[in-house]
Amino acid sequence: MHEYAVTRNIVDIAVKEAEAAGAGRILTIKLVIGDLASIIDESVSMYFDIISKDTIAEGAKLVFKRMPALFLCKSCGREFQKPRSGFDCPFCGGEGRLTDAGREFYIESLEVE
Amino acid sequence: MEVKVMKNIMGANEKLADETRDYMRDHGITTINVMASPGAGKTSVIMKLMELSKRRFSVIEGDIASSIDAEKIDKVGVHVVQINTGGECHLDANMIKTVIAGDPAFDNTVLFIENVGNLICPSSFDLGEKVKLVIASVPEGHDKPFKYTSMFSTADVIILNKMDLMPYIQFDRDAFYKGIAAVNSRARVFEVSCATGAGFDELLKWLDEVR
Repeated sequence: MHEYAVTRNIVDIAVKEAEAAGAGRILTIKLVIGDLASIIDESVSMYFDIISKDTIAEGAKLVFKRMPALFLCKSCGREFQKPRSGFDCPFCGGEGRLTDAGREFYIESLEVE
Repeated sequence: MEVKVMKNIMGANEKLADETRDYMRDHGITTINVMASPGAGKTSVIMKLMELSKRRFSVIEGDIASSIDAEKIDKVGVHVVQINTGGECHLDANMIKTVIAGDPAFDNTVLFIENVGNLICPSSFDLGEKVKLVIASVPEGHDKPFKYTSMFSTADVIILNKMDLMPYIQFDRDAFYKGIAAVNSRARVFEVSCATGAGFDELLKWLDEVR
């Protein structure tokens, strides 16, 4: 739901970084987004078209690299993705514990010219 | 040409939050960011704690458009500033910084920030607070930690409010605590009722020790 604020940041960072590299146009922006960031890709894309207008990011392609939220089983020690319901281990039924994976939220790289 | 960036998208907010944290520390402001869904009892918990505690308080009220909650706080004579986000689903560090900087009425107080009622977006925005307090309530059901993983995983303190309604609601307490344990191993949990005052003794003890 807060994609507008987030997309503004994405455009700001991308434009600054591209300009610092002496680029005149941004072709691609690669984003890494963990599932716990509560961000909808389509919503970011929609705002991006509006916010990037008349900047060197206008028309750039957004690439979303999604990182799943991972849990670690207390009993068998295996890692698993957040199940659709509950947090129990799909292998042994043990209790899952949330790891740090799934909180990623950064711009990885740009393709510029 | 490829440009490596590796920059946190929330970096601008986090930088402002750090500046706000420094300002709060220098001015003796202890800040509690109160987050919950609409109707969980954010205003009621804040008002009850202010009534019972001897500490000095101030409040920032975040709402999309109204000032109903701020008026309630104002009536009890506590310094309160309303932020209307105009549709934005959360408060951010810049809004808080703008409100407290240069307003000495916030100095040397425990500052409650009542965030916009929402269990999703506010969890992504550091406001420079000392404590993230999440309130759940019995009628909302026991599945909230399972549905709103991010919010419950970032909480320092969790309050389960409206305990007086427990006899009337199908609330699986074990499931609720199991959900919290899965996503957050450090949060303290308090069970309270604003209607009866139950559980506030312990909560008050905690509040009086927050520095």
